[in-house]
Amino acid sequence: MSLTVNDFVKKYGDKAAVDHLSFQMKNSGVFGLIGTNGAGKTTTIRMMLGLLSADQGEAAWNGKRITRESLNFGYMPEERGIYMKTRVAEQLEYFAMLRGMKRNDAKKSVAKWMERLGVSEYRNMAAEKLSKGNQQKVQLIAAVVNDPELIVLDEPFSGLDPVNTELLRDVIDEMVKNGKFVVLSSHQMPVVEDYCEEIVLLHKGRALLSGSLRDIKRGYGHTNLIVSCEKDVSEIADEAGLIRIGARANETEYKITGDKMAQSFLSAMISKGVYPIKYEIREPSLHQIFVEKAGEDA
Amino acid sequence: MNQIFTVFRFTYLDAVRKKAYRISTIIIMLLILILCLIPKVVGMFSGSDTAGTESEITYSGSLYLSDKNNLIPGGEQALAALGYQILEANENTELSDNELLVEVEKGEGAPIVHIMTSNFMSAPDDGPIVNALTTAWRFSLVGSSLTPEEFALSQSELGVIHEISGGMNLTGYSLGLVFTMLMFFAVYYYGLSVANSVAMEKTSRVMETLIISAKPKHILIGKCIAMGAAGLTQLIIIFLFGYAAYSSLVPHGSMLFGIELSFDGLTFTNTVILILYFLLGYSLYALVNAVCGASVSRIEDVSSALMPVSLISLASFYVGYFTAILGNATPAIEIIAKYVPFASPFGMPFRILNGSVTMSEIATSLGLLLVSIILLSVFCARLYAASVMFYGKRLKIRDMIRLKP
Repeated sequence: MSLTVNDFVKKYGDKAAVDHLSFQMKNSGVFGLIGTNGAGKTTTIRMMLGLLSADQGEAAWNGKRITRESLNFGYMPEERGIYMKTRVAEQLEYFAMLRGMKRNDAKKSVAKWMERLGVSEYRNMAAEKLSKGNQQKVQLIAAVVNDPELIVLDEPFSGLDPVNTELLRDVIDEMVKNGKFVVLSSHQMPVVEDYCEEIVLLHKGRALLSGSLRDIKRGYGHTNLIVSCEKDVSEIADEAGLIRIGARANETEYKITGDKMAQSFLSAMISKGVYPIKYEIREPSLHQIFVEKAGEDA
Repeated sequence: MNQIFTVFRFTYLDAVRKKAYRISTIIIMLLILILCLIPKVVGMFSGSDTAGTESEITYSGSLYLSDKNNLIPGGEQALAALGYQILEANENTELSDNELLVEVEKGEGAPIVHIMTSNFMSAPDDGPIVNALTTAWRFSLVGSSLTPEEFALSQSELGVIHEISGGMNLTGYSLGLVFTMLMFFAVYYYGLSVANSVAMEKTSRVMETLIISAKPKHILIGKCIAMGAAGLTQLIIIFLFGYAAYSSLVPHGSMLFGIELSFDGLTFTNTVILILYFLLGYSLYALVNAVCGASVSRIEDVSSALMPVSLISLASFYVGYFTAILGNATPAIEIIAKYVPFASPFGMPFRILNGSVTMSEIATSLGLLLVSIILLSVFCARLYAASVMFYGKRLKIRDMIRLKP
């Protein structure tokens, strides 16, 4: 099974919302569609699922154009859309039946997912009476209730508290374990870094980067050093030629040219009797890659 | 087909469970109950038998006559023949409700008659009084050999029976007007609820969840049928209640404002035809309203998006209404009221209830309506599909045509 997006173009007037975008998802797992607000993520998803007509290009599942009829897919839109005045279970059963499930199967599936996400007690309550987080869970159930092969989640973590974030993480893991293809769209880079094996990084409708996240990062090499010490090491760092790029409560992040520079800095610290509590050489974060790439593009 | 039925079932149940739907049904039923009780209440206050037969308009008050110079000999008998109790007026006469003072004084030619009442509310129709006194005066001028009894008899009015050779009578006329208005309100408001429902789904973003599951045209058709069925259910409940209330509370032959309260014109065939006009008229407006609802991204814009349709429906209603009340429409207006699809649901009920259209005219009118709905549904489904996922400024018709579904 594979998801292929081939040369998508969508223009509004002279402005290209999506500009010759192509990517492929060959294996089950989580695929990240990342970019800033207005990068073209939602437009891409809508074209991919056939909700919006593309000016050019097409999306295919196993080589066949994606339509409601050709693929059982689920979609959780960025802006939550549920019937506020209608009872939760009733509307979820409605969505399930619209996707071809029989009434009894729909009821069972809704009950199972409500139990799984801890919202069973609200089944006969109007959606407007639920908290924002619980409404989001209802929206998630609407996306997965028909056991789809491809699940598209647009900004699924926005507005969730840490407990519910963990719950959603478990659900995504479970879906991946069950061989599902999950496309996760987000502008929160750390979230994508945690979840996605493959990504496409969008900026102004164009793909700045795409492929395996590990390979992309590996391509940049070891460029960052994170150090946490009890003493101030800024002078030693300056002497070693490190550039400070960030500081958090107990640690400082430096830009390095490679492992050698990190090694000489460590030697200098030890020679001066300073022993780091934390010393981590790593690749740049997705956020840093994005800022750099977007800067180049601008 | 399954999707249409699923959308229908959900939308129908959602509509009939709404508080507004239930409350409006109860309020209309209460109004019908009050209307049906009016003849009884009127009967109680007028002191007539509550079994209510025909009501007669009689003036039961007294009449003070002052004709000091006997300018109209026989005037007293003439007025007595009208049913008045004749009293003699003097200078201290004070009038209370239901009392009249008729004073005759000399004029340049004919005498002048003053008719006085205590207030304008108790003024009777003075036509019969003037006619009776005029006749008496003329009679006195030419002289007569009649006895006073013969003279009194001569003042009696001839019995007149009005008969109408066509189907239209006052009851049918009134019923026709009531149904014209009912049809307009039903078609307009149930159609309006379709626009609001579509706009709500679009603006609340439920549409995105819906549209990945079902084809837009299936959603549109299911929704329109469901809202129409909810409207028809409400109308049937109201009519059944109205019929029960009318049968049990309104005595046969009761009249209100001189109009017989009768639904004799509402035969089974007429009822079926009226229901067809409601369903087809509603469908026509619902389709257009659904497109208007889909053209907006903010619920506040629904009214302005509906403005053109509202104007068409109002103009169509007035064509039906005025050709009904005036009764002598020009042939062109008559054709519009009978056959133009947007107007015929409002123009035909009056004509059907008054028997002023033939079955072939009804069949042609319904056929045109049906064909229009089929053609319009193809066009509206395309516009609906193209616009439901478009967010931003309110779409105009030419924008919608340009958008790809």
